Amino acid sequence: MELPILGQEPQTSELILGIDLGTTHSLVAVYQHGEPRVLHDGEGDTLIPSVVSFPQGGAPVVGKAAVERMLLDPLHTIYSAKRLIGRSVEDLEREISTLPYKVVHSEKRDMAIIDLGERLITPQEVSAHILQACRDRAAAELKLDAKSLTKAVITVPAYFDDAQRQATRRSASLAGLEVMRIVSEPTAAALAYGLNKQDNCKVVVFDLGGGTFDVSVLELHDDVFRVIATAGDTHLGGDDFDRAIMVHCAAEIREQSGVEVLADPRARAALRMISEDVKKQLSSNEDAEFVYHDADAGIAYRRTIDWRTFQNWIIPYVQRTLDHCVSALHDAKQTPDSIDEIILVGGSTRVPFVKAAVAQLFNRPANDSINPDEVVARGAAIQAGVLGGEVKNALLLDVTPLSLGIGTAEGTVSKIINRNSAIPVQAKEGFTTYVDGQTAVKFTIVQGERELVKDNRTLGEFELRGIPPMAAGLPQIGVRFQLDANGMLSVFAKEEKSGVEASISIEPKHGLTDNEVENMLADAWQNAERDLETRRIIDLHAQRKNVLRAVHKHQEFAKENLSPESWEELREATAAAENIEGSTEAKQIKNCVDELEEASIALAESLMNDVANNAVKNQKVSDLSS
Amino acid sequence: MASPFELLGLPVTFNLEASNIDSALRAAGLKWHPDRFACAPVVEREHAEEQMAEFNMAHACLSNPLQRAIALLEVFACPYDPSGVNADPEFLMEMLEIKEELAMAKGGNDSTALSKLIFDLRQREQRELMQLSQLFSTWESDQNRSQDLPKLQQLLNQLHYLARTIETSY
Repeated sequence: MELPILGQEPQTSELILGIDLGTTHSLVAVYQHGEPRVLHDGEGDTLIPSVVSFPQGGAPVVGKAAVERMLLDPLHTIYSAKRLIGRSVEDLEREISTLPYKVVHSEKRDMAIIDLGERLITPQEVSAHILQACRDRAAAELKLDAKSLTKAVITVPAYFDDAQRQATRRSASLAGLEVMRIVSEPTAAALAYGLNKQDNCKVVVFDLGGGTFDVSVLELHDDVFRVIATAGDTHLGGDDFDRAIMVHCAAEIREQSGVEVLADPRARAALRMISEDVKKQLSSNEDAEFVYHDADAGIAYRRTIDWRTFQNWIIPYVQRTLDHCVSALHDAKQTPDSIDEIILVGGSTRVPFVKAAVAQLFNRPANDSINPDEVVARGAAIQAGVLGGEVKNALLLDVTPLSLGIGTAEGTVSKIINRNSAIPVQAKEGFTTYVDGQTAVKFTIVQGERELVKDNRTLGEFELRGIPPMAAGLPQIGVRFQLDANGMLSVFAKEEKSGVEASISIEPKHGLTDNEVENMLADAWQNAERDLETRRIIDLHAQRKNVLRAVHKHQEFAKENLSPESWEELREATAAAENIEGSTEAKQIKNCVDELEEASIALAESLMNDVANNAVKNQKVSDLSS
Repeated sequence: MASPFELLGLPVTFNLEASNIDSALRAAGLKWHPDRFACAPVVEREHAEEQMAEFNMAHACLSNPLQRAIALLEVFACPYDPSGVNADPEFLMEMLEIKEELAMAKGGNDSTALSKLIFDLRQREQRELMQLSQLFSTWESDQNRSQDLPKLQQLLNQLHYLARTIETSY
């Protein structure tokens, strides 16, 4: 890196691209002359279809030209690659069955890759081609050398996990772009709308794209955006509407002609395009015609689909979007009435039924004044302006979607960073040893909302070694979690007395899938009570062992110094506490521990008297054990 | 280390407006967010990350009335110590009853009763927060600052208990 020479004018910073890398379409925008500008092609189109075709023996084709090849060469024409990125075949079972091209499992990478027949290609490479097309478009439109455009802000769905974000970064570097920041799509949308907004308002961003759905609740204070909650599903979008039409019509074709039309990749690609067209027509017309002819297969199918029929087919999908809205509102501690503004993002929000459903949930129409296809790219360009220093009055504050913590020796979780904390953030927690002379402590880093380690996701483990031998409970181990502005986690542990240190940076090989995130949240709600009970039992046993250890330590002293009644009482309580080892009855354990503590007061007093010749009332023996 | 009040440049008092706490974070963010240092040398960016993390934590602490109270007691060198607080037996009895009612509503899948109980708990939490705020304003203006401390600590304890009960009732 070159350092600026003192006294010289700072170099005008390089133009940073704002790219909306979408499942069905991508767009590129820049921040110029005080405003975001979405770049278009020679025909005035801003959307670049996220489709890449790999003709045998020829160079890859991207965008519109690739769309034209979808029918001709479905096995080599890749769409919806974003659905595959950073995921394993296991995650994708449902998708793969409806894709005309072949997706296989890569053992080495533990992820889904595409089999083109002649060669294998990763979803990252497919995305890299799309990103390159974005860069080429910017270069052409701005009359710049494509090589001079090397930096970008790229948007991803809010629910993208680490693996998916990392894979997106990898795509960019394959395309020769440095990612200055990954921004969640709804956040970018709010940025695009937010600059002219009033102080202190709560905004819901409802983003229904081709393949993903996100809903976010944001708080806007004249220029600071804070995401207070997000929910969503990377498997829900306009493609599902197309598929609903396709599946219904294919079933009717099968009934009429006996041909399983979806089994043929070319026919499937054709049906998908017709379905998409029908859906678009139904955004402005009462009804639309579905026409499919295949003379070779003996199919002549024609059907009129009215908006009501279409509506019935998509109700389950629209209902899911509303359910996510409710859950995001709950997380944000908001109600539909406390929301000031609802923003519609993504082409699928043009479907009238979607608009109506959102308006009904929130009791008022949603805002769609900015083209829903372009709004995310505009936001990305504004963030590029912030990072380039041109935009000084806007700032984006992000949150972490799941809690992060440390697993304890008993299997419970000590949460260090709570879910929905603003990032960057640092937090510290103190730990100690359990056994006398323990010189190493293993830390398990977990992500999730549950009380027990085994029910959460383990992100990584590391050991702090070389602690000088001390009595149990004496070492002071400070564990610090550091989450940076891009959501990357670093964990540091230090034993304060000896200065021994250890650390780890977490880059999970394979992150959480949406379902996992959703299930983890749902589990946490459903099992909160049982988890708490289990945790209480574990804590009580730990307490029980502590007191027992202390009593045993001073057994000889007790025998000699206590009155016979006190000694008998202590012996009985000790025996009772030893006998309930392994009990899962919280009440029973609590009683035993209470009785033992009560019985040990005499010992504590006697010990204190002996040590300092100074009476202490109500001191428990466990407080004196170290 | 600087107190969260000091970090965000806010007056050391319990009675802070949420909008003021937010504005303070906004001002700090406009200056210190790592995005402001995207094109700066790594050292400066890392420093900004640390600064912003501190501001975010201070904001989170002050935005929660209980944490704010604890931070405040710390500033005045009267740290909150739950183990040293004698609980009000009446409060404990009431809570036990409410817990039983909650368990019954949950066991019987009676969602109306459950919502009612949670609503009441929230109302109660609000009332006690008001009380806490009043106690703090007298306490803060009192030179000796010792008079109401046990009362403050007891109320804090109860509020913790209430918050925990509400959290686990869903």
